Amino acid sequence: MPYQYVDYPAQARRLADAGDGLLESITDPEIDRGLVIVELETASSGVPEKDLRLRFDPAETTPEAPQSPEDVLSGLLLDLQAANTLMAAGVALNEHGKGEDAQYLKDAVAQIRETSSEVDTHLAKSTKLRFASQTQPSATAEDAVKLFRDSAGRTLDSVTRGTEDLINSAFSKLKELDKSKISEAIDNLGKSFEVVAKVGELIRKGLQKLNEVLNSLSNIFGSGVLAEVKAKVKEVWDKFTSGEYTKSVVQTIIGVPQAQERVNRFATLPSPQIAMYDGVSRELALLEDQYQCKRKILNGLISAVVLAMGIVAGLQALGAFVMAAAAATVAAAAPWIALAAAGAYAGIIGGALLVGMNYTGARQWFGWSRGVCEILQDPRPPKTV
Amino acid sequence: MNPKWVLLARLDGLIARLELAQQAIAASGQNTRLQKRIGADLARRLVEYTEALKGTRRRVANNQMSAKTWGDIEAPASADLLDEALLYLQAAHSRGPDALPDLCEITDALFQELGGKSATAPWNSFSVFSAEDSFDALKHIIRVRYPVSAVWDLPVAVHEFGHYVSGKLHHQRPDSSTYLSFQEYKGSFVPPAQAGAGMGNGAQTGTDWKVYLDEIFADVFAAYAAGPSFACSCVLMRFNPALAHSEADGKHPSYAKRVYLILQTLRSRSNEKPGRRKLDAVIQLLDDAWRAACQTASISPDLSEEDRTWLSAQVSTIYYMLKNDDGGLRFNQWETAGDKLKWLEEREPASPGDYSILELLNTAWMCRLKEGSNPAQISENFLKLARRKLKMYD
Repeated sequence: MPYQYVDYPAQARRLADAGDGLLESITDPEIDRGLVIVELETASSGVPEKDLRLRFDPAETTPEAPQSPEDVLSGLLLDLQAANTLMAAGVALNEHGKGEDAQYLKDAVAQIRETSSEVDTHLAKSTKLRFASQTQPSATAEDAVKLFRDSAGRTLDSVTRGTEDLINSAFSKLKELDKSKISEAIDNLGKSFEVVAKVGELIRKGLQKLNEVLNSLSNIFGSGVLAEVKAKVKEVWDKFTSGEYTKSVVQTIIGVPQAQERVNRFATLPSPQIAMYDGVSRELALLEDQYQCKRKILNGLISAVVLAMGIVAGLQALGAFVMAAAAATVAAAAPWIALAAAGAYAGIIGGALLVGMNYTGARQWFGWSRGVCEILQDPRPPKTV
Repeated sequence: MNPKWVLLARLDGLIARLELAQQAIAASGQNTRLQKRIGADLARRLVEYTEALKGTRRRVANNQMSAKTWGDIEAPASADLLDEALLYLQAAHSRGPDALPDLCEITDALFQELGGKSATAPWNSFSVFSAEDSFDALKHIIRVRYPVSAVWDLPVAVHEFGHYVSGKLHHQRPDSSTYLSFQEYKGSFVPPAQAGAGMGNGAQTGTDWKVYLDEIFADVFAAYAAGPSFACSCVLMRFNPALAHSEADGKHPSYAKRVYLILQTLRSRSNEKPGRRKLDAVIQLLDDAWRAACQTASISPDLSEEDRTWLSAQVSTIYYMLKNDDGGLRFNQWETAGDKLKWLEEREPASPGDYSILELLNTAWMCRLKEGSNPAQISENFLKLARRKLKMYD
């Protein structure tokens, strides 16, 4: 069975345990560090590449079932956290020859524990929600319509706020970077970078993994939607730099107005049926819960990219390695970091927009969730597991 | 000969066989531990099955026949029950006066101890003597190599128990779904050549990787659960250095690889609390003994770096899996086993306090590794104490 989102907490915990094991070995000379490093490297092997390669390509291009977005995104998060742990472990063991520093490793472990605990809690909560017994049916048709309007409003509001928060968070990081590199990074979405590191084993493996994740993040959308995503990210970025960025920009891009219009039409059907409205209300509540899961992963990705760039910049400042970018003709190392960071954030912004569009139902992709518009177009009882 | 006649004849034959099996079980080993644990339940199932067949026979006699009636005669359930009855009778016989008394019972009790410590693999089956050690995955019966050389062979049976655990070990996800941890790992396993990692030393084409991985799991499990006693029995009594790098059957790692796997598992255990570094001495002793044995056989004990890297990763993964999903099975008794040396060394075993068979197996090996030890005395005392433990379990 390929990697799944529900496996993220267990795999992340193993990675964090391995990181903690290394931290303990630094303070306790009785511990055989060689064994701890073997466990760290094994725990970092993470998600098989094929499970990240399917990305969001439509099913007809591949004989295998498409991975769900939460599987792919959480797989990328796990790999990014593995890259951070490996690089941080190398720094903690002074592989770069500039002195032991365990702080990055402590940060990496803390970040993994935080996201795995959040996802763990959310999964448990979602399961309860899915298995919860059906509440009493609405007393009247008016009550059922009101319940539906509330549920739809809550879901759309949650998707809008979530997308906005994610984009704001990524923008706050992008602002710290060289603006000229950001447009270049957006153009480079879907292209590969190459890292040439001249450092110790763990840092080299970490950088290699980081490079793979950045390439995957940059190339996450598959050829089908890449051009559209690039255009949307560029649109948001241009509005942001020209000071025209407002909440309504995000709402329009992810299709909230159309979804809202669909909600209004659905709420005024000529002969309202209580069971249908109640069923749709429940499905919308589950949709909102699903959205929260993706939001948590995307948030985790932003934090992990921040940490990764911190470690890479730290290594760079110490002159520990050189890098080259294959896609862009960037010779010096520092611009590469800016470019890679910008590319990662642009990828996350693209991901946030795509997920938002999926949940409003503005765009549909095979194997993804049924968004608000699709649910209202074809109402059916929510699936129970 | 109409179909009714044929059906009745076959049903009569099958019912007669099942009744014979019932009689044989009733006549063998009454009031033994095996009879109480397994025999009574098996006899009950045989009676129920026979009664169901008699019901079928009555319907056939009244001309009520269908395709299902033919299926009832050839049902796998009847073949399985008769197989189980045969194994039971063999097991009962191996606990008889012409076999070393109680050894199968002690083996069963050892498995019960392990099953009792396990969160995922409770044990309610039995062991039976056979030409080789093996695990019957369908019937959950462990075959122990005959004859058993007392205490020194017993730890090897834990490897077979590992095969049982490998199909039971499971993990619960936060959404409350569960999956079989090792089976899942095996399912997604990529053989080293395809994964880009070589297996240089003794690598075989045509290796059955799923079975190969099962054997690795069982070795790691046995060292994890039985501690150094399993390593001592394998390295000092079973593994032949002349065949150190042979993987002729394509299913078992070579002895050299198995020594590495087992000692690496003990190293992982010795790296943890409680008892950190306490196993280092016995690990070193076993490593030295294996290397010296290989030298006398003019064989290099070394593995390629690729092999060591790959095997270390397997140990690391399986060890973490076991610790995470069945932490209670981890062997924690090396130090307390060391407190009981006198129980096995002296002519009459002291009146002991609390102990487990698993712990005593380690005590026995600790005694034997001492200069001038008396293996026969140790083994005899072990059997006395193990029998006493059996009574407690009863």
